[in-house]
Amino acid sequence: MEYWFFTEAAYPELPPESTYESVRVKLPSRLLDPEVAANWWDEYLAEWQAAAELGFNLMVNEHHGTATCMNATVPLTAAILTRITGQGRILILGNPIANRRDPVRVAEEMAMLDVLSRGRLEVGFVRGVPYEISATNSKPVGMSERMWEAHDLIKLAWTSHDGPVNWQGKHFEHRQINIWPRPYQQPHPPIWVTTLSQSGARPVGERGYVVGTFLTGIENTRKVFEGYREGWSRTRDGEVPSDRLAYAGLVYVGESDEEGMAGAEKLTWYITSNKSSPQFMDPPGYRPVEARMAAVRGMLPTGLKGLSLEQLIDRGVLFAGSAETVAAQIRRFCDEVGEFGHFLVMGQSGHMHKDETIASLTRLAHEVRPLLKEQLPLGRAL
Amino acid sequence: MSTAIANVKTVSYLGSPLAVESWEIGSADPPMLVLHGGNGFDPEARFVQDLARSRRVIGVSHPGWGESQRPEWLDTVSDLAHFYLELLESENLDDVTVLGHSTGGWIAAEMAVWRPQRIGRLVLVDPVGIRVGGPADRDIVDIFAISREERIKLGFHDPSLAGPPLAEMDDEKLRRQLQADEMMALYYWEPYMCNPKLRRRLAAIQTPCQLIWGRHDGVAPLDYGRAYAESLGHARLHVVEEAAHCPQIERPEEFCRIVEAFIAETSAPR
Repeated sequence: MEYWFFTEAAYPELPPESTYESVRVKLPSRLLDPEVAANWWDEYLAEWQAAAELGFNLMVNEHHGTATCMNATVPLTAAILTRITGQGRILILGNPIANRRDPVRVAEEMAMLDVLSRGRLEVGFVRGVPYEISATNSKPVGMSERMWEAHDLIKLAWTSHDGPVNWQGKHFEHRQINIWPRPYQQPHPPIWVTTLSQSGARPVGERGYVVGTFLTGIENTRKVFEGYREGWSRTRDGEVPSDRLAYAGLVYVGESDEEGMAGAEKLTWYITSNKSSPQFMDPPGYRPVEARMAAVRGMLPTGLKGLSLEQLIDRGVLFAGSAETVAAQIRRFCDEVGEFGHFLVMGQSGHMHKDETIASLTRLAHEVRPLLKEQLPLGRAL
Repeated sequence: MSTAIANVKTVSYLGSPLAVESWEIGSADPPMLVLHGGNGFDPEARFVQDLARSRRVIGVSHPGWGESQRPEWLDTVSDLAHFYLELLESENLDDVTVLGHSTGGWIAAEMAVWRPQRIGRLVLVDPVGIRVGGPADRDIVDIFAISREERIKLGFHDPSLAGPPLAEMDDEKLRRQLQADEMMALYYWEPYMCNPKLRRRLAAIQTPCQLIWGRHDGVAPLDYGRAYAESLGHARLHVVEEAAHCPQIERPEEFCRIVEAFIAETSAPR
């Protein structure tokens, strides 16, 4: 199993929750002190750097108009990582291509990163969470269709090497497509797509890309992987290789169980500091009318907010404790959902500083990983 | 009260069959076509019933709303205007009073810009569709960025007239409302609630036009209405006191009086 470290690079110094309506879209940026933001960025970059030295692969993502993530443009951060780290894959998970106006520019940015990193890049495409709609002025209707058209266009741009090609699709138009540089990896970097549902995983499986699912716990992760297998079997023979499946969880490894739980408490800032207005959480068209009806009727499962650390661990969202405890939790998760090849470690959140983050990552690399070696398929040596 | 039973019939639009949900209330010609705003057509609305006493009122769910099908490519207000112009042709309707509320008023204005021949007169009720302010001005409130409660507060002088909250709707009403929300996002998202060219084109409209505006409209404020009237040139603007974005709902008697007087004045003596 491959391990990937990521942090959302939050700006955690927020006023009391009762003083603002929504941490997404509307939170006034005067609440951000640029000096403090720069200090946090120093820490985040140091964490990625340390993670690479410990043998982790690296993952970056982006969000807009929110204190939960200051990483507003993934290629910038990834470009820095290509220079300050010497090993490990660099995964962008991902490019919110349903919200980007110019997919050809995304293709070009990714190709440049691939060259800069001499082929260490993995490129994720995501539809984006609902809060991104307003923050990017993107239409919430038809997003999946737009995402897949953007994907088709990006692939065309990556793989055309004989002069300009043309695209006049439903959502995008671009004449004279001829990106420079072209990707370092041929025909193009590995592609990842995230989804949280069984139906969303099918088209990913059909294309044979890596599917990533975030904090979906045992039950829903099983469904996502099942959807992937359904899609895979439509277009391919044989079993799905485990390196096509990825899961992201919150992880903190302490010296003791107690220390691990204390770290976990800090990680859950990500879950608790997500106060959002309903109009940003559920824009019309983002999900089917039937799902919105079920939400009005209170028939959809509630989120993770309000769950105790123990409940989060039980669901398979959080992995926390001593090295032995965390190893057992990961083992149990794998037993429940089946073998998967990529564990995306959300190892920092909220007010957790870099020393704490790196201490946990070090235990994960040096203590947890060896305990799991026999149970799990071998990945790159950590 | 006239009966108002929805009828889903298949019409031919650009050579392809399309299921369209429509209501016909009352019987006398010339007819009135009511173009609903974002929330959909309500055949039980008092103003519809009252206006249907002396004419045939035709209400149609725009493609994508209610039981009306939407061809996959149909996704702009110009598309809706074209759809209704073709409907006037295929139904052979003449001297039609086109009454449009909010985004329905926008559709009506687009129709009159392009092909006014079958339109006898326009009644535009708190219409949107034009750009008035500069780039950093917000002409029309961003309905997608506010809660449903805020929307009601801005849209109604008397919020108790806004109908039940989502949680109290039966399944059928709830489904229609959420479907309507999705269609609003599809058709009106960008350019937001307007066609940037429409304001200039309004000057081309020769069709008699009555504008009706709620004094307290918080969605598209009265100043926006004044700019609409000015751009139309010949249109009269009637301001309904104690009403906001939906004067036809909040003050149906006054509303119908103004509409009846306008129709009488703009109709040839029989």
